[in-house]
Amino acid sequence: MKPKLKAKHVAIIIFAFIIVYSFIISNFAPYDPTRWNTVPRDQPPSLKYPFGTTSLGQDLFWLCSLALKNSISMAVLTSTIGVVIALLLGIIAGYVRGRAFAAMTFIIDSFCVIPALPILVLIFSLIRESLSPLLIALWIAVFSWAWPSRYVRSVVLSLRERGFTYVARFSGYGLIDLIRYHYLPYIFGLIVMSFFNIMIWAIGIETTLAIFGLISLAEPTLGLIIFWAMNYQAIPRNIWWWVFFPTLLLILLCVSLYFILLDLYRKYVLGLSQ
Amino acid sequence: MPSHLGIRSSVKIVARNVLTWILRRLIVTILVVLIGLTLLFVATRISPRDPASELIGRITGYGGGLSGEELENMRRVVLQLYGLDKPIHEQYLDFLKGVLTWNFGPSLAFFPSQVQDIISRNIWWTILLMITTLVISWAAGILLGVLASYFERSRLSKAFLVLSSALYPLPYVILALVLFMIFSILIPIYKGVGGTGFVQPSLSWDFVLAVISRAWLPALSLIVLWIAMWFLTTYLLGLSLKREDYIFYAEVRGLSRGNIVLGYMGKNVLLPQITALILNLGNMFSGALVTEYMFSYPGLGYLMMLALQRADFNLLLGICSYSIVGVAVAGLILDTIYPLIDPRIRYGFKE
Repeated sequence: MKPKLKAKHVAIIIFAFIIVYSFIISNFAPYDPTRWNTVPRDQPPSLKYPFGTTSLGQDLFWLCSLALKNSISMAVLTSTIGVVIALLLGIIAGYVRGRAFAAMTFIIDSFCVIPALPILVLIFSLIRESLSPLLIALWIAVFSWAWPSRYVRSVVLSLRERGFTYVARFSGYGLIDLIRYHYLPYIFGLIVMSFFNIMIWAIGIETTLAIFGLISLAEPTLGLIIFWAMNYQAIPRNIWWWVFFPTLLLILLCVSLYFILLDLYRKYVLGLSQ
Repeated sequence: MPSHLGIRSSVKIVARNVLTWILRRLIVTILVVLIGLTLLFVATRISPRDPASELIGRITGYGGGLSGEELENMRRVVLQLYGLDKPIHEQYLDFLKGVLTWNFGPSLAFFPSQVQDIISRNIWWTILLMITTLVISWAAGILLGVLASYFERSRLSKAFLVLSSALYPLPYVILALVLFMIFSILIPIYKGVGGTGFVQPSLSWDFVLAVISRAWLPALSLIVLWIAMWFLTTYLLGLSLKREDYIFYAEVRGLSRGNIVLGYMGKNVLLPQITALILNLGNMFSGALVTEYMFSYPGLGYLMMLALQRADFNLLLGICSYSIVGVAVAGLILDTIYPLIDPRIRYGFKE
């Protein structure tokens, strides 16, 4: 049988390229890519400037590399916080009974239907002056954990009534050990998937807020590059590369992450190993 | 219903239960709206931004030297207009009274227009855009999803699957940007942004044409994204439905394919998708916000961004009140007609 190139392989290769480009290549920038007027302005893509240059005199190839690194780092930070909250609240909501259960369910369900973007737009424009990368990640994470938490809760709910839970409890396992040795293996796949899911979502939210002009950081992100490009009327002035390359990188990043996520879904949820 | 009761008393009990349920649901809706509005109010009042000094900053920015006393006077007048000079609990009561009477006071960004005049001028743009795109994408996505899952081996349905899997994870803002670039650089046919000016909303062809010439690209971008979403979820539902015994039985009975796809699978897919529709109502406002900002489309989302940029809290609270009430009422209506669509739904009636 011929080995067939599948979507997931393409996705993994693209993702590997993105990681190399952002986390390794960005360290070899010959000049500070964020500084203005280091290169000629408005140059279209050429051999010397593969992605062209901006109207501010920045080399887009190096700028995008740094911005991609920042975007990914921010998404990973958001995702980590979100997954931890989801895991904690999900396990608690699945484990407690009675009133506490109802209260937890109410909180989780409310956060599921609250529209995150308008609220974040509101918050960010009211406290724009005091935003740091950590604070941005934290605020985005506040709205990210609800759906994963629901999944974790439903898994724990079903595990709680299984025989091995009682055996473990009667054998003297504490709650922490029970979760660690008996529940986590069941939840693990879910956690990994949630991590990717939140990451894709967080990249989108961060980009949207940046394009809205609500995130003003010294460190560039892909969304911020697009924001500056739109601010300098790049599309009407036909400087398409200024918008095109960050957009392309974002699309590649999101789609490759999603296809990896789909593969994880097949592996962990549907139990198909191929 | 217990059989020993007569029909008339059964009907009475049902009617009472339904009324009780609607009443309870109404109270919950009002509570949700109240909590939302209160949080909103608190957020604007604890914000470090000061609308009065931002407005005065803008005015003095145009030139014209003003003395300190004049500035102080101006500031006091602005605060009074806003009602910001009163103690905080009175401001809150005024705000609630404003919501009840649908009167949010003057807007500072568009002084001296009243907030509700501005909103009623712009709201139809949003409503028309959202309803059209939602109906089209929901119907088309579900229809395509059912067809694709029934004919899962066909090449077309596989192509659709890959395409929508690639579109689905994209942030909407990126999709809008890509479409905007395509239709303004590659094929320059979209001239909606800027220039056209605002047309007064009315039930005339001019208004409809103005909306269409401005709205087709925002609408297209929303439809593309949402079709991908409804298609994918319907496809997955359809795949599991297809393995059900009654579909097999229908095939063995020799029912037509159209009947199986629409009558058997379509109907059963519809129910969870209506639930999903209810859950997604809040997210629709996110869609509106991004679309209108990206395409400078003169709806509520665009107004909200303007209000935020200029710290126009009256306008902001007005728009958010409209959105919160709108989403809550839409959810209430959908929830109320839900049992008519799905007879299995029970809302915990007691006999």
